[in-house]
Amino acid sequence: MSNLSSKKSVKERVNANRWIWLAKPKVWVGVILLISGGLIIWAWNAEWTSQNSASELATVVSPSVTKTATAFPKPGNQLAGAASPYLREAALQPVYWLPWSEEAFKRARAEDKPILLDIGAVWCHWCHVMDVESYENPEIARLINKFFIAVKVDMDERPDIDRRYQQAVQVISGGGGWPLTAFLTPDGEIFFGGTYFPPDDRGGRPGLKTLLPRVADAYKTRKEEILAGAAQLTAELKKFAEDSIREGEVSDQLVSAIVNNMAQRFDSVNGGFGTGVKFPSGSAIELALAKYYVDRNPRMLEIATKTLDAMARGGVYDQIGGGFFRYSTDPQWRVPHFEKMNYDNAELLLNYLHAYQATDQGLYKEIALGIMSFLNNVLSDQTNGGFYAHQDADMTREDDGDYYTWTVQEVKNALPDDEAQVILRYYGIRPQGEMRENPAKNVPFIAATPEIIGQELKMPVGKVRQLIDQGKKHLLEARFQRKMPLVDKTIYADRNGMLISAYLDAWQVLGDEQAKGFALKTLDRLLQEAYQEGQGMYHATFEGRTRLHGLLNDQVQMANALLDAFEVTAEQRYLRIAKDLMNYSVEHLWDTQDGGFFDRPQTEKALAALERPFKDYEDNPTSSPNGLAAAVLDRLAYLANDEKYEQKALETIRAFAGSAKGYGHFVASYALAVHYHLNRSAQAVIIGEKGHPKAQTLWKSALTTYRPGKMVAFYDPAVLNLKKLPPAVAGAVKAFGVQGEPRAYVCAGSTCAPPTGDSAEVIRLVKSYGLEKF
Amino acid sequence: MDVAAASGFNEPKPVPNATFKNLNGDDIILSRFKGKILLINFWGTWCVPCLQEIPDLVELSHRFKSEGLEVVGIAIDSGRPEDIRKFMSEHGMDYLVLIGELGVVKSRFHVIGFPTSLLIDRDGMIRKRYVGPQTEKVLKVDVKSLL
Repeated sequence: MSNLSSKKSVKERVNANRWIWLAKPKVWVGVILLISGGLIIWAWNAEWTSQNSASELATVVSPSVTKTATAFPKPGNQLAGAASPYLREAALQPVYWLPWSEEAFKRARAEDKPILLDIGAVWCHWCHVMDVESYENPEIARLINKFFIAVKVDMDERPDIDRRYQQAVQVISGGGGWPLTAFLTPDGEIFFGGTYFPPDDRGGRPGLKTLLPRVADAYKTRKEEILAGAAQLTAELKKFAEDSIREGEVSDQLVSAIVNNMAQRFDSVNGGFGTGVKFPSGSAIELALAKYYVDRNPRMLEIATKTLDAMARGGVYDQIGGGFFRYSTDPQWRVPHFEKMNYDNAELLLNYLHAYQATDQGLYKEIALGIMSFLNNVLSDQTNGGFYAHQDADMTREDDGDYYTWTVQEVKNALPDDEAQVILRYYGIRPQGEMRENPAKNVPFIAATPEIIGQELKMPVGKVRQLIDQGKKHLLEARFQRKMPLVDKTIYADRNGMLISAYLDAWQVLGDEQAKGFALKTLDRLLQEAYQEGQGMYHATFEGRTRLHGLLNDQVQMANALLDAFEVTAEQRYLRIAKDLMNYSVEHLWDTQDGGFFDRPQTEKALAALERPFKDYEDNPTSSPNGLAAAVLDRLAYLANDEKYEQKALETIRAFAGSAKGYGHFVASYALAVHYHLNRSAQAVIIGEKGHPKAQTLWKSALTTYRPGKMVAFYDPAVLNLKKLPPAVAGAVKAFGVQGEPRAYVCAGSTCAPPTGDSAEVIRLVKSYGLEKF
Repeated sequence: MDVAAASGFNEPKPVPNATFKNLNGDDIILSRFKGKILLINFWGTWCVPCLQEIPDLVELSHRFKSEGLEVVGIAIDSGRPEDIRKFMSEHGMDYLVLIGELGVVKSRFHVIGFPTSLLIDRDGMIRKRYVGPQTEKVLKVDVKSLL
């Protein structure tokens, strides 16, 4: 028995690995066995594996034939009709995949077979590797079909399923990620799992050919132990979920503790957090910028700018085509994993827009425009509205970032000599690159300034810049000749909400009218296709098919986008629907016992692990649903002038306040919600006729002025029903009736500034009202 | 014992002797309240935090009126007198409300945030300035110390 057989509790294991969600395979070798008194992880040892070959085992484990098997249709791969591209891709595999369904579990129970659960994604490189190596391998497929019920899940389509099994696999193996490979009892309780498994034993690691019969054998011969162990793990995970969230006091000290913890984890050399692989931390940057605005603490500005500078210069940014890749494999942001997700780009777009407002540095604007160029050109449906989900890392299932990487020769082939000599230096492209499969391939990053290149080549800097611009365009053209990695055109509500908000911000910061138009077009499409009054949002829509109803993240991200849309259009319907979504969330997702929102409705019909309640307040991979829910409720309380939402916001942040402080940047969006709850930013109400130029100027002045967390509401007395207005707005509208001139009412914290009709005064007030230091 | 020091009051200053119109259009000069304890509350019907403290002001007025407290609301930018009257009746405001000019309130009373309240003793000296909504619980302690 190895050192893996530690007696750490589930809680210790999850805590040790919590927040580490690597999209990189971490192979765990072993099986879990239950012995009385605790969960033991028994490391695989090579000696043990070599004693029995797969074929021998296949005969040892008798195939299960049950009386009820004939009640089901003939087994076969049932993914052809799936909406998810990840599932459809697997439709021709020889494995008899079933989608996540009642039928899969019924069949497993009837045939008394364990379930092999694969959770992956269409953008995931190692999922493709496992597909090619294993799931398309007839021998492995035969083993799976013989001993298991095979279920395949798209993690983007089913974040609720993914979360729960990821957590379990982290406990079992010490790491998570995709592909996730889990073995479940017929009731869906996990008893063994890991991430990527090779087809054959490799370097002492078990391959599927060895593992599958082993697991099947264990299930047959030690079923009692396995069932009991799985039940205990499930119970412990449930208990862990309960214990890891504690109610506490909501205070500025809580925010300070989270911010200090975040600052300690900051990498002062390279930007970002931690010392290993680097993921973007959108909410942490927003928290740093918001705190910097009120405290003027230079450390907060450093956290934001050093991170954004390093990311902008690194290979994690697509220097040629714009937009960010998922994450960097090194602390310097140099070599990424190349999948591009819409949600990372949404949060980073906000980060760069806000950093531009905070510092006026042109680089941030340039990167914001680069992100939008990528989103507009590749990741959106410009005709109908809507942002697509993501773009795959690879051109084919065998390559290794070939679409995005360059050899010296490829650059020379694509560019005239004068451009090539500058571009090779600027993007650090050398004979020896960084890629494993083809060492001549380079990931472009900013390796030298135009000034240094000018000195080296004895060329004026202006000329260098010109050649860089031309070279970049020509490289992009050359790249278009390559096979473009696949785009998953699913429209996810939560992620579209994020992008709608970011695009509306781009209009406020950069005056980009097209961005505003596209954001509203997207919003209207989502409302039409994936929303029903009183029923909340659906998670996904694709070619007219909507899927999965009632997830918290979809409700809150869309409600947030709707409030943004209300702020920039003054259309009451957006406010009304935002209210409807939050009312739905309170009614169907609220934990009436301990407070906070569950990630999905708690229904009796939930299959397998979905029965396990889950409340999320970590930013993983984007703003936490509960953090954002609190922030949205507070916004709604102000914009709809209804205190009940403010009360719910307080209850939400209170539910996690006892356990959040040690988690630093991982709970940044939660900390931001607490910060804004306690320190109200500027809130501006503009009263005037919509067509009145002065009213427009006041409104636009309030919208375009930088103040983190500000809110702006515009009311036109000509089109409003006074009886339906919040009392304070009705008061302002009546005053308007006397003055007849547009006015702005700016409040912050618990006071309001004197009303004004002067746009310069509005800008001053929005910037600084309530902040005595200014 | 120095009342101001004991209750953490500000340095006393005389209240500006300004004139405001009541809802009938008559001039009301502040010096007429000399001999009473005065709580002047600058507010507006458009101001959410102002609305928040109105019930507390009503309660305070009821409790101490017989002992010589006069609560006076100065409404800024709050529409026509009939709008204000209607608002008062909807919110049970039975203390005196006058109409303030924004310029006067800013220049003579240095009000930059609403609500702002001033507590004035029987000699017409400002004893405390409150910015943001207050509760009856807090106000009554200060008022009691001046009785």
